[in-house]
Amino acid sequence: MAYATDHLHEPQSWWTKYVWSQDHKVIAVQYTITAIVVGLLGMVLSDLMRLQLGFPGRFAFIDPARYYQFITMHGMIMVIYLLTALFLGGFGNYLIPLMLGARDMVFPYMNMLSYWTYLLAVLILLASFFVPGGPTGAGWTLYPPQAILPGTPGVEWGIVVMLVSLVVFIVATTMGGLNYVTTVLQARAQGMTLMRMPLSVWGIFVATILALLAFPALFVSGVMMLFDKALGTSFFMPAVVSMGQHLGHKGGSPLLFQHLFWFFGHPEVYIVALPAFGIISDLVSVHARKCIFGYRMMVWAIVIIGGLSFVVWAHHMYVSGMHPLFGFFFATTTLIIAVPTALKVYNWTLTLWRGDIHLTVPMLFAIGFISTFVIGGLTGLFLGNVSVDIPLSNTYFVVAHFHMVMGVSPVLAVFGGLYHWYPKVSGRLYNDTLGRLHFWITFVGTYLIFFPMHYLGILGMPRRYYAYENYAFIPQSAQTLNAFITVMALIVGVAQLLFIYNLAWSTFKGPRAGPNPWRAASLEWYTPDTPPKHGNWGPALPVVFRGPYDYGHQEGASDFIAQNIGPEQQEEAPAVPAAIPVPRGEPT
Amino acid sequence: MALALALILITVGAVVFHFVSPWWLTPLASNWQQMDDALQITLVITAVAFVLINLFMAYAVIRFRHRDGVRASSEHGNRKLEWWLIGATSVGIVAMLAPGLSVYAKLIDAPHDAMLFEVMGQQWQWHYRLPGKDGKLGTTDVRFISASNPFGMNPEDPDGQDDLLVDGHEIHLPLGKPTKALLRAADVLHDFYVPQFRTRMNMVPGLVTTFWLTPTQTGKFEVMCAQLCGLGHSNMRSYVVVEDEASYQAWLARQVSFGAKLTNSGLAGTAAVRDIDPGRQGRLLAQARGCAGCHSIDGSAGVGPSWKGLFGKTETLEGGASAVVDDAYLRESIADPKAKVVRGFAPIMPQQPFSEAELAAMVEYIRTLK
Amino acid sequence: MSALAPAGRASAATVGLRVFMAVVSTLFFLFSIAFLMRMAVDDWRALPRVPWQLWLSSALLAGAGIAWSAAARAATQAALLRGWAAGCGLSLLFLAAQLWAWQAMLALNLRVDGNPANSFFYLITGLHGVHVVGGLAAAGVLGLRLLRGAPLARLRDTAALCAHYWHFLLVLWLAMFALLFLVTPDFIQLCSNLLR
Repeated sequence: MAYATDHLHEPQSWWTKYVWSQDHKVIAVQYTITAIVVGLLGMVLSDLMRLQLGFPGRFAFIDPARYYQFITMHGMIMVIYLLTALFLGGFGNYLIPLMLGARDMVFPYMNMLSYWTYLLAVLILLASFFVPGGPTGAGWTLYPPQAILPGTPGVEWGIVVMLVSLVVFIVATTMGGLNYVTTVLQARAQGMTLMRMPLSVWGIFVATILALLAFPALFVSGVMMLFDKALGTSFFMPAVVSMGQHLGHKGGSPLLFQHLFWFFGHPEVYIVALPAFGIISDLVSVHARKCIFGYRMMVWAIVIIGGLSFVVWAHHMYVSGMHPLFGFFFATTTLIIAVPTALKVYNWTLTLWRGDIHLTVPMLFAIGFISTFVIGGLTGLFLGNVSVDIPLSNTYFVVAHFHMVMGVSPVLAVFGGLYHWYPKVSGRLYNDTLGRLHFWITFVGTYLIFFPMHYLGILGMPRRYYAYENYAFIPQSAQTLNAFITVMALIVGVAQLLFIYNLAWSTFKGPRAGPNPWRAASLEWYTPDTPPKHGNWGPALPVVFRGPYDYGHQEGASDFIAQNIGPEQQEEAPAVPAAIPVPRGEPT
Repeated sequence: MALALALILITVGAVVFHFVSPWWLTPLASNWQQMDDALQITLVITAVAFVLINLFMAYAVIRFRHRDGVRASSEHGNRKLEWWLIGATSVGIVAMLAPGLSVYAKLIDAPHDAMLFEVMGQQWQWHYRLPGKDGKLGTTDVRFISASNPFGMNPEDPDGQDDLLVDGHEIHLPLGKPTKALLRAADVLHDFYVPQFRTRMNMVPGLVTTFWLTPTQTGKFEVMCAQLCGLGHSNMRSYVVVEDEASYQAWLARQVSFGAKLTNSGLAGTAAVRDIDPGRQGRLLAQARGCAGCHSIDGSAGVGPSWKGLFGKTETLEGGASAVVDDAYLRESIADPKAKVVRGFAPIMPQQPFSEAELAAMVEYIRTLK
Repeated sequence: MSALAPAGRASAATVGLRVFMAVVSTLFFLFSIAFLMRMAVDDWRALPRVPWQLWLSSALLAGAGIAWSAAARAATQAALLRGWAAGCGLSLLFLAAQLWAWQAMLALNLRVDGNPANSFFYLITGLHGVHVVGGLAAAGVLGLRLLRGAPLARLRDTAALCAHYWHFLLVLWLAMFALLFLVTPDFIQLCSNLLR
């Protein structure tokens, strides 16, 4: 295994600096850009789906096969290749060493490998658009038997390519995950105890542990499905008659797949949510100039949510035909997990209380997160309660719920985090007006898209339908709503270009930011250079004396004290320690 | 203050929307009022939380917005408040969970004397079966499934002889009687979903799943498949008709038993049957092989060309050529779907093996669809 | 620019390896759960007998572990090189013996798409083998360092990690070996009889 210090000689060529880089910051940017690009593709796919739903039959090239392929690829891209990669590979890679006072991840070479393996997984996934039969249209949940039987698009090649891509992704995530976990455990600066880590790190750390333990379940189910498809085994395939043909399988259990898949799938949503929680805690705290309310409880909540996330999975299976008694158990555990989650929401709002709230763009997104996460989490209570779930399962209520809680709020957290740390990463400030415009269109737009959608689910409209013609119980107004939602989705989609343009343009033309434009207390803002150079800290590593939320000081020139300010220096109360030089040219 | 205003508008808007929205639960047609009650309780509790949290944030954003010279409080937290909030939340959770679990206990406990009916799902159609006078359903197995035996009935099982095989895509149920559905699937996962009944269940190949209800409203209710089952998923439609006892008995009397069908079935069939019901073999075959999922018989648009009026028509093919739909064309298109693709349709028809007799039956059936 | 003390450096790699071993254990644990759940269906036919090649392969894997332990304690570069070669060589022989066992199973007409017990045999032994190959890739890196003349202390640290991993692979293999051949429907029946 590589040792962190051995590879900290400066990279020399353009290639080793920006392409084959072992620097966690470069790798983080690589992950982020790749994830955003593939996420934009996922968004386009959802727009195509919505065109069919909003204006059924008007777009002849969207036939049922393509429609189901779009749905499947949209879902898989967003959950796995965008959100998981971005939170762990993007934010995790960038923030962990900087927030902990380390020079880099402990295994930089493997870190580099993890990015290129992730990119390979993405390319394999995209290749499924070009194989005979196109990508799989089995839904992102890939349930057998239909995923590997005729009647579903992509059964010849698409499903195989998808499963191979997932296996490669899991290898990449494992490599990354080993880095994040080991770095948090082994490479913290002196004085940086676990209970002085920012909540962003806690969220990413616990999420990584979840990823390391949950992705194996996806691997198991994926490999076994590959065997059923390619080698004719009967892990998941019972005796079936497909399109009039008696197939050779027998005895397999489709429910076994569902148990394995959701044993992965439920922790997966927390792999996305926990880093978002952590990031929001930091955003709210910095921009309200106030210590996060109840840091200890917030840490415990993250840990407990992480642990409980492994015992709730079958709430995705209430109508699967599994043994009915499981319903009692999983409904109970699912509703229990709501308690630590609710506590986090309360603590964010209580951090705002008696704060000194600056409605910067990151703060707007943070508050937007809280509002949309509340809706998403509350509708989860409907679905977690087994008997309330039964009529709502597989309807638009579920679609609205998981979009709010996975697609809207974590994405708002991503935007908030990207705007917040953008000055650190690039050394420049983004355009504030464009950022605000981006926020308002996205926040209001996603509410308009997904709030009414819940009601279509309560009405009883099933999800994953190509069309809803000639149903007596579905009023014409539902079709009008679908058209409205489509138009809003297209508008919100286009608005994301504002974000891309803003960050890209500002990288080259934005005003220089200075080392700490938000006057934050956590360690990452105290590198000698902005953007931080290779090795992050210059000749001496930082030493930590306090937690990252020491805000709210009433006396003295500054309302906060940075993490690396010791007690002796505290008397002078400089927010920026004297030893670290202020970059030329800009007032801080 | 735009943000605070937005939060307030969202809160007010959501509440108003709830009351004016035309989209809500379908009228309940079963005994499961308690499920609706559990939903309402959940709604009220979550709505209160939603309103309180958003308004609290709106207030905080206004009250504690940055003003020069004012700093944030130095408080780190308040353990007591946190425990109090945990307690209040737990009470709310229990208030939702208790009614939910109590109705669930009833949902999974069908009365012993519930009337049985079986639903069998297949890509992309429904089959229904009722136990005959003996009250017992005959055993079935996938290995018995064929074009002439779509239910996979075990021909040796005496209990199955009087089972009623419901022809067509409509099942009737008597009003007011507890009824238990036994669900199975021939190929992939399906789900028998009637929103007005509230309760439902997936159908899993290799398993028999179940749910029960007492229908409380007469009417014709739409059945939808609610578990993604391939291309024809949204086409897999059926109806449940709930009627009074007399009408129900009349309908029951019109159904044919498995035993009776056995004497008439077989791919060759008798000449008499073919005269009465020409194209019957082909129709059964089309159902068995899933053709109905993509080809309508009433002219409506689908994944593939409609069969109504197809025979004798001149089709325009991809690439501009045209072809007359005759015997030879149909046989080729069925056996080798990619040979000629009609313009405007995707070349996605699965290729399946057909015997000579089966092709003849299919063509004969399509001819009957004028 | 030494950010971490030598003791800190070694333990980072050990921690990383332990986390990885936890991940791999989780993987095989989940396969075992799937195995048990699938075994409950009555079409299961337990594997008839143990191909003798599996006793050979087990011994080879154990030998490889011993060789790695020796390499980790080696007093000289040469001794370490011998340990390295033995560790790699015995592991390659292990993989060959596993493939030989596959051949023996096929000769008994126990194909992968036959009974699910067979399917699990090939799946689990195959994946275990993949993890041995992964270990060999890491061993390859050690070999490169050996060639480049890295300091003995560092080489021993890496060899110790290999030894650690190989002992884990052996324990994992023995557990899977027992699962595939000992845990049968009869065995479950026996256990539940005993418990009653």
